[in-house]
Amino acid sequence: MQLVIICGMLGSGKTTLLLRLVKLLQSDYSQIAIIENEVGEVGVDANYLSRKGLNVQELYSGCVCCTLSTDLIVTLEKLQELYSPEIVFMEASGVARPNDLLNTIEQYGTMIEDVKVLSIIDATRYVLFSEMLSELLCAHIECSDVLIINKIDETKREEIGNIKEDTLIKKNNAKTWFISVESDDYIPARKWLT
Amino acid sequence: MSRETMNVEERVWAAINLEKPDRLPVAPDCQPAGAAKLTGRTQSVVANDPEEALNAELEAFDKYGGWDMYHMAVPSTNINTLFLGMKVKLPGRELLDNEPYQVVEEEVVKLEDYNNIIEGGWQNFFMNDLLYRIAHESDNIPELINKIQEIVQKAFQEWAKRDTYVPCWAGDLHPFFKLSLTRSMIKFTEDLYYRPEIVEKALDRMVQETIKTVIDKVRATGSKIAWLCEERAGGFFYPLPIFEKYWWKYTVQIVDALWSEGIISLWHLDTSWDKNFHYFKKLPKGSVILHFDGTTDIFAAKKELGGHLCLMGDVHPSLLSLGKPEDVENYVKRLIDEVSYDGGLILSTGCNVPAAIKPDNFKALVDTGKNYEFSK
Repeated sequence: MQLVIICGMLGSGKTTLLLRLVKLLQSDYSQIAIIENEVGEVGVDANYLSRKGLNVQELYSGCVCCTLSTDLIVTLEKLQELYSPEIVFMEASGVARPNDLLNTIEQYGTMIEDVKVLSIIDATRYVLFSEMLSELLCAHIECSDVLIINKIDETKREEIGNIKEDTLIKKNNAKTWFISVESDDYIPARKWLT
Repeated sequence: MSRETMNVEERVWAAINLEKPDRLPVAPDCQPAGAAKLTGRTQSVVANDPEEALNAELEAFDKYGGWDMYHMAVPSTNINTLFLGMKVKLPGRELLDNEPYQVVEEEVVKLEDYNNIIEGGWQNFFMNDLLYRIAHESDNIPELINKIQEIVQKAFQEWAKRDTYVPCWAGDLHPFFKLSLTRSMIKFTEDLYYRPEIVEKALDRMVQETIKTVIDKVRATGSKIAWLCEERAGGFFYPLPIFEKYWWKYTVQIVDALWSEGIISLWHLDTSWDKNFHYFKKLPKGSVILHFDGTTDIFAAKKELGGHLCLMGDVHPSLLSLGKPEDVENYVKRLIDEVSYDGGLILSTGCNVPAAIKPDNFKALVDTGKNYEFSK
């Protein structure tokens, strides 16, 4: 089973990205499952996705995630048993740190053959996050295989330039994409997952 | 083989006072979600019926041979979760019967509410306004509040029959945590960035209320320990200047005020606080207990804070839910050998006993905690 973890702050575009990826990749996989952990203002419409032949599980955790990584393994085991999905997309809570999830998967996630972390950052709020939530932002960036700087259509050119020059972005090893997940016609979904 | 020479209260206080107890005090944080799993109840039963929640805790305590401290005396159920100030999805109501309750992260406190908080105080705003925004349509608030009082009385009587120390009958969330939960984390962070003055005014007011409420409640119950909680202010999320300005400053005020009244504050600190240890060193010696959730490096905390503050924890929820009993046993032994060798540790779960805990792992935690030192 392949696992794709989509992480990013609340409002960064995780749900939109998830829906676009699933739509683009649906024909590539026999069974796709989705784990929804962002219990916030915008959520995936589980009923709608079920009608599209996708299996959606909500993943519950407390107000901060101390048991999130545990619950993820339990949920993956449940999905494996029910649907044997080839690929699982997980939309992680905005307060989740991917490294904690990766450590638990490495230790207990025997059913997982490959994990990819896609971190999505709202370019319009990059300065806010880099000053105020730098620790969480770093945690998202450092663990990501693919870094998606989103909403560039709403961001001034000068600010995009500043983001590109920011040390956090420059020093990380992930493939970095500046994109607008909602409005761009092309999303390199297959490239991101290989 | 050595034997116990202290009673449960003496043992706990020896650890708090940074002395070597006869053995490590054991105090898993067994709230209803974990107690349900340990006693064969569904999450729905304990989340919706406070009496059953208490019964589950009592039964778990009896079934696993008891332990030294049950620090949170009142079970956290559908009623108490409302006091987080967030909407809650409950098993058996919005969720399946055996899923643990889930808080909903959304902006239930609006920007304009800051003025109400500053003028009238948090408690007034919460009881007369916020509670009604977050309550479920089926919740009868006066009835729920009466029910809490009944359960507190029953818990008091039931715990008194058992050989355990139950110190926390009063507690509160750190005002920073309250605002982060109820504004939602990102909105609250935007407030700190764009309008810090109004947040500071609200925090100033809320901190004074927290101090007064906690001291009054602790005095009323004759206890000497107050429970306080923060899950979002540490180096896991915020850089140190933000932590210092909006959390640490207020925490010092709370700890000092309680300490001057002879009250120890037991801080439930979820997420990693590795980058914040040196601040805690500035608190008066023995004034607080730091309960870590397994994400903080408790071994590093011991090096920095050992001999100054009592630590509590920290068997990680993943280990308890996914590991094997021998892994739990080995971890507890390591805690005893490397953190508790000279006192200053209360053995506990990292955060609460998880809803997915394996009963054999729980047994391994309690038994190893109680017996390992005597078996050496």
